[in-house]
Amino acid sequence: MAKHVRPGDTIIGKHTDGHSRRCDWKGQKKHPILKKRMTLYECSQNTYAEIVKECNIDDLNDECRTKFYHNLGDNVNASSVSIYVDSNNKYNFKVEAGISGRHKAQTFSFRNLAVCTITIPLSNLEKSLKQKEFIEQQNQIEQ
Amino acid sequence: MSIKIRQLSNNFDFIKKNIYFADIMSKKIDIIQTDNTQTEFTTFTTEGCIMHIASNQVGENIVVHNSTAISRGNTFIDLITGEHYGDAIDLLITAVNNRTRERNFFKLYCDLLDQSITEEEFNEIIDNDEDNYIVSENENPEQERVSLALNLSKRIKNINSINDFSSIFSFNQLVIEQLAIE
Repeated sequence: MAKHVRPGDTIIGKHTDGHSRRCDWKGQKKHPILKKRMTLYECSQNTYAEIVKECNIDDLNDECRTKFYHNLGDNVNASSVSIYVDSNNKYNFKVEAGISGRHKAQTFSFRNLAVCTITIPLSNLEKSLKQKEFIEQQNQIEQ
Repeated sequence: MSIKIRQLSNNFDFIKKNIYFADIMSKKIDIIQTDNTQTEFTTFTTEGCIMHIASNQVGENIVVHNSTAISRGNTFIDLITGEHYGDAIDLLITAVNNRTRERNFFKLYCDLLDQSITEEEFNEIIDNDEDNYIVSENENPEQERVSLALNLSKRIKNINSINDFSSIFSFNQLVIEQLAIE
């Protein structure tokens, strides 16, 4: 049982419970590592997801076993988490009061295979690229 | 023969030109007037290129432009021929096609919800014609292409996350995340 908070940390579980203040259904996409068509939800504004039932490790490929956390109780807690669920149907999130301090939250209990990844904000990408361009220009000037 | 030089601007004026492709382009205009002619000299400066253009009106709708330019590599030629915009147009066409794929998927999902089709038929339709319903994210873009796409994405609705960004331009999400972390 471990808590994961870094961008890119991923948990995979057969049953996954959690909550988020905002969940957006994004339709179906192929998971970049599993290469399987799954339903994507983007959860933002304080998201928590925990494995309540482990999946069969033998069903996972080597890349998943090394990159994903899959033990019972492993959880991710971050501002933004993307959740891929192996299901066609759109999930009905339940709104419950008092979950995150003073705010309400949408709770979920996925009973299909779910992969939850802590995502990086888009603004970080822009900052990172600007920094790289600045460093390249500095290097050119020094040369 | 008398010669008058009129400067329209003392300093370089910053104009917003092609905000999708270049951050800033500045423009300075000088007009040289003699007794019977008037020639406009314009200097454009943008990232990687300086252009001096002398323009003479020779007919009702005809202007002769003589230009001299200094640029990094072929930036000047690319700007004139439109090659510079080729990548941006390519990205925008990809974005429109991916929005169409998403729309097709949601239309099919509506059919599933109102029970016009069964879940098996829903899966079969998508599996047989995935290119019309599912966005593929298989391009590993270079840093410059990602920068250009980021500039374009500021004017496109509903791009709020790296998932949205990589999805609409068919970029490999793992490559984009790696660029954001480094």
